[in-house]
This record gives sequence, structure tokens and C-alpha cells, in this order.
Amino acid sequence: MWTPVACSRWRSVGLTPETSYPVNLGMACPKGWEALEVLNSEKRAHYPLLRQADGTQQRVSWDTALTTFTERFKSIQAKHGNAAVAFVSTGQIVSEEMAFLGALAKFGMGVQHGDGNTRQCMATAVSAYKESFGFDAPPYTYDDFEQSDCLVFVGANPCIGHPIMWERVLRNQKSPEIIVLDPRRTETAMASTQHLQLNPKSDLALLYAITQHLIAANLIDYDFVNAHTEGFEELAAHVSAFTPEAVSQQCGIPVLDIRRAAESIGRASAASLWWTMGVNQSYEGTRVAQAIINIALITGNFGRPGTGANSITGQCNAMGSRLWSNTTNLLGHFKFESADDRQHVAETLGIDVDRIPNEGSWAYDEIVEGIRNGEIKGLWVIATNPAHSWINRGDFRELLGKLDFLVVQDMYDQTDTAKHADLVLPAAGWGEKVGTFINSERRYGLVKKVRRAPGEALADFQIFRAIAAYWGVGDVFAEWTDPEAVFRIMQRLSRNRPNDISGIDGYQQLDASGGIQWPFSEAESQQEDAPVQQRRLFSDGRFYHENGKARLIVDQITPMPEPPDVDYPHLLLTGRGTVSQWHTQTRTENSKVLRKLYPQQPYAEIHPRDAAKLDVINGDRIRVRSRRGEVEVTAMVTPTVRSGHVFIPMHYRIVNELTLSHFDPHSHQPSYKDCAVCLEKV
Amino acid sequence: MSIAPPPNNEPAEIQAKNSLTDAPADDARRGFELPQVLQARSGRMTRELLLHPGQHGLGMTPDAMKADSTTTATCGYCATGCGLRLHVRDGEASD
Repeated sequence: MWTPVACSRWRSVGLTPETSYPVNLGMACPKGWEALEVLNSEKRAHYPLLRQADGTQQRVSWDTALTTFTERFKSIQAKHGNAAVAFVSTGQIVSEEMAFLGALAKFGMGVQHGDGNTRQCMATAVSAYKESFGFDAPPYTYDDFEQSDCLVFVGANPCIGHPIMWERVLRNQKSPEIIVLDPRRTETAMASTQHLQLNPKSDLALLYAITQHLIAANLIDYDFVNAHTEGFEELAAHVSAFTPEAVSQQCGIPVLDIRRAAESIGRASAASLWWTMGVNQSYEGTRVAQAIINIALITGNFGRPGTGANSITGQCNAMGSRLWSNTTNLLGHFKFESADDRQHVAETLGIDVDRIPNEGSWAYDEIVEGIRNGEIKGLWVIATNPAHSWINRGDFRELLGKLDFLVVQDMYDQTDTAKHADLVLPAAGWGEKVGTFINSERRYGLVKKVRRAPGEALADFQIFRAIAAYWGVGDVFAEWTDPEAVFRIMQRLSRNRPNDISGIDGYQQLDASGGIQWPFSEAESQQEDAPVQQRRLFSDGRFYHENGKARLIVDQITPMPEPPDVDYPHLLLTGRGTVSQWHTQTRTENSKVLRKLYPQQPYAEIHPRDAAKLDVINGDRIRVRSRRGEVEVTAMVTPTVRSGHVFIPMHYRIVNELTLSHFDPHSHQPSYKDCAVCLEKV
Repeated sequence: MSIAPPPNNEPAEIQAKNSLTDAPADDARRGFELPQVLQARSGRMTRELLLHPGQHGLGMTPDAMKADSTTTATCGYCATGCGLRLHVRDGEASD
């Protein structure tokens, strides 16, 4: 059955992983199996809620909610300027809603600053790709997991973080070398053939040492380097000092292990390098990602099956946010700063070019600082929970109190952030609305409506339509009638761009094809009877910079800003806890099945030697203190963390009481995985 | 032939305390607690869990999960982007 809206009478009663879908081939993790269950929660937002004079949130009509939204934000803008209202959105809503939100806020409401929680997950990969390739373009397709002779995972634990991708690795018939760079002995590290258990934040030095060995051992594909890259001499000069001998102690890795990893990469006929949050959530993450990209470039590992420098994406539609959120980049990955781009987008949308701002947004951290210094007075938060997830959250919650008006639009009204809201707008969730997500391998996939949203909750798309009408800009968005109409606008904007999707024949073809990866231009659609299901980039060696070459980018190493010391002798690492938990647990805490699969109370993994020094055994309570706050957690004594390190999963709201606000200077992504703490037995 | 259980010679109050069906009256913390799942006091009856051929490639399913049709949608958690086959039933929209 094709229809995206399965007719109002249809109702979903269950789900199973789709066996013919080219991504998961019939597999799903526990979160996927329980995707419907979390829609039934009593924590769902049913009605608009407005904060009253007595401080309570009370149910109001949509008319009151939308009138209040418009009046309050307009009055803030009248008093403090248009830029005093900002929005923070998400990687969780569909692309068509991302586009609508960004266009409505910036072209309709005159909002200057908006960003997404994708800043917390993918910004670093975006910055790295844009500078290295000339466009934010993960080059791979999942088939590469199965075709690679050597897979290198840097700061990535796909066994837990992306379990179905790991299943694809397990289908690899080539007995691949699997190299893991991670300070923890993660599940993925245990399954690897080489685990380089490096000291935290020594990844850049280690990758430079691998690069140095590749050059010294002449494992370079000079044909590829000469034809398709620039900056090789600078790269070679920069890494010459980073011999394995020179970095061994700093990284905590024996010289021979570094050389062995480099040899494995350099001699593989198809090597692929993969990274996730261990790289992205780092204060020098952009340069680390580029060091990974450099290795793939100089060894000619691009454009062939099993190759690539491959960023694994976090949220279901982080890629949609990157292309369509109209925040950092002008809608469709254009530049706000370019008059030509503004003109082109205005003409394509049929709007007045003066509606398009000539500069991009502040990043998330800059919006937060804007609240602190009083420049941002109104905030609209869509489908994210910064009161839990923002770095050093204690500080952030105080900042929410400084706002004149806070609107939270979410499918649950019990999140930490929603509890602070002056106005809650109840939204439909996944399975209750229509649109497209773009996955890690650039695949547009359909989301369908198989349930009715509870109470008066509306699809985010409908909320944006209503706000456009109440704001008085309904005519600007006359063409934006339904998700597929917006998809057609996106197709027009993408024409002749790296992310071209002009060849897709509507939602129906997406549905029939098992999703379609960008680019899929009109020309390609005429050549291919049906879209090829596994498509990778750069098989012609042409990158997106004007000269067609990729750039090899290097930088100095930056020290950790808060290394462990006498008072705070341990280093706090954070990350995903289990396959059954998702981020701030807004959804996953609503499934009985998932709740059985992870510890209910926050815990900290500590090494047995550290536990012995504290006289702590497994299950004892310990206090973890940083310069920002202190929390009590259960000790989980395990040798998977090194002595001197503590690991606390990010899903428990206490963890960001401890973290240190610091950011990658290029991507503005928070660095969640390095701050000093001390431990005490309670 | 049935096998008789061994005689239980423990005093009645201890037998009562060890009973799986009678909750202890006091809230005193017990050293060992059986998992709740062994004794569900609410939920579906066994007859409702009987499996029938599900059609649409669904294998055996209980009546409550019987579908009239299926459709595929992309999962909404991580960016792996798995395809999930949703089993839908014709009927008045409820919930």
C-alpha cells in the first residue's frame, strides 16, 4: 500500500523490520521495534498549555495559543528588534517541516537567529566536509561496510550507537581488519582486530602519526593525490614531526601498534574510515575529522566500494537539518552572504528577496550567550530538550528563566524544557505525520501517518501553517500546502546542486525504491530505469571546490582546557549507554520493554583499581564532582574504562551538571567528553 | 502417576511468608524479591495471545495484532534510517 496518509480509518497495530529495505535488510534495534509503543504514553502533549499568572500551565484553545504566540513574539520584536526572537530546533522532524520552520521564521517572522540540536551532534562533520570537499557530503553507502578490507572506527561505537550498521559490518565476507580508536574498551573495540585504546583527546596526534607512517612507508596513492587533492606538501611537512615514536607516550599507544594500524590501512585494497561523536563532540573535532579525511584521500580510498572518510550521522534527520533548516546555510545549502544565492532562492520560492537576511544565524552556543546578555528575549524550541542536553545544563536552566517568553513545541509536554515553557504547543510524533528523513548515507526515506495524534496535537507542519496565517504571512507560503508540495519546492532548490533531487518522481517513487540517495538528478533519472539502491560519491575523483580538488587540511594540536589535576584527578567521558536509550530519553522512557533493558538510575563506570582506592564495590553510591556541580550515581566497576577515567551515559539528566562549556572553534559543537572530576564514596 | 511434593514441615507463619501469592503485610525490605514478571495481575489473557497466520508476510500473529495491510516507513530514532513495516488495520481511528 503506497499512500503516505493511510486514510483516517487505518490504524497501525504492530511493526516488523522491513526485509526488502536496502538499509536494514529485515533487522531493527529495540528502539525501532518499540517505535509505536512510545506514542501511547500518558506524557504526550494533548492540548496547548499556557502559563497563567499563578505560575501553572493551563489548557487553552489553539486559537488562544496561536494568538498569544503571535502577540508575545511580535511585541518582543517591536521592543527589542526582530533578532530578539530566536528558535532552536532539531534533527527529529521531517525535512519538509525543517524547511517550513526555517522559511517561516526567517522569511516570514523576520527572525535572525535559529539553530538546531544537530549542532550538538553533526556540526563538526559538516564543517570538516565543507572545508575539505567544498560541500557537506558524506560519500558512502552502507554497502561499503560489507565491501571494505579494513574498517577504521574513530570515536565510534556502532555496536551500541548504530547497531544495524554494525550488523552490516558483520555481513562483511572479507575477514576485514577492524581498527578501533577509542579511550574505552567499548563493545565495538572488543570485536575489533586492533584496539588503539588511546588517551582522551590524543586522537589528532595519533592520526597525524598514522599519516606520517603512511608517507614514510610510501603507502601513498600519488596518482590520486596529484589528480584530486591539494595541500599534500604542507600535510607532509606538518606531520613529519609526528612520528609514532614522538606521539607514543602522549597517546598511550606502543609505537608498533601505531605502525601496524598504518600498515593495515595503507596496504588494504579498500580501506574505509568511520567516525561519530568521539570526534564530533570535541573541541578540536573539525581538525580530527579532517585528519581522518586526509588519510582516506592520500591513500586513494574514495569512490570505490568499501572506501571513504565516512561520518556516521546521529539523529534520524540531522542531514535534513543540514540541508534544509535555513539556519547556518540558506535553504538548500546556499549562502546567506551571497547576493546571487539570495536572488536565486527568492525567485525559486516566489518571494521578495528582501525577506532573506544577508547573514547566517548565530550558532547554538551564541544564542545561549545572547540569552545571557539579554539580546535574545523570546525563544521557540521545537522537538528538543536543551534543559537536559545542553552542556553545563545547570547554567542553561537559569538562563531559560531570563527569557520573556519561551515556547516549546513537542510531542511530550513533560520534558525538562517543556516544564519551563510559557506556552506549550502539542505536536504529532513519528508515525502520526508525513514527510522525509535523510539518513547517514544521504538516503531520502518516507515517514508515514499510521496513527492519529492524541488530543488536539497537530503535525509540526500544520502548526507552522497555522502560525504563518496568524502572523499574517499566509500569502508568502501559499504554495506550502502539504509536505509533498514542500518536497517539490526542495527539488526545485536542489536542481544542479551537489544535493540534486530533481529526478525523484515524488513520494510514490521514494516509497517504491526503498528510499533514494542524493544526488539523483533529472538526467540520472532518465538514464536509470529504477534508481540504483547503493550509490556512492566521488567515483570520478571530482570534489565540489571550484578546481574539483579536495583540500588536505592540518592544524596545531590544542591542549585539553581542563585536564585532571590534584583536586579533580579523574577525566569524565560521556556517551551512549545502551541500544535501548535515546538521547534525553523523552521517548525511550515510555516503553516498558526498553525500560527493562537499561539501568533506571544513573551510573558511572569506573576502573577496578580506582574503585579499590575509594573502597567502593559494584553497586555502591559514589559522588562525582566537577567545578560546575556534583551528582550521586551508582558505581559500575569495570575494566572497560581506564584507570583515571569515569564514564557516565548522556541519557541521565545529571551528567550535564558536570560538563564544561567549551566548543570547537570551527563548528561551535560542544565538547562533552573531557572535563575533570573527583570521586568520593557516599 | 503423580509425584507428591515433599512434606513442608515449616511453621505456618513462615510458610505464609514464603508464599508466592500472598504479599507480606509489612513493608519490611526483603533480601530477595522475585521479579514482578512471574506474577502478572493484569494484562492479556493467554487466549488473546494465540497465534494465527498473519498474512502479509507477517508469520504467526495474535488476533490483536492481525493486520489488513502493511506499509513501510523510515524509523525515527537514529540516522541509520531503517525501514519499518507497519501493520495497519482498517477500523475507526481510536486512541
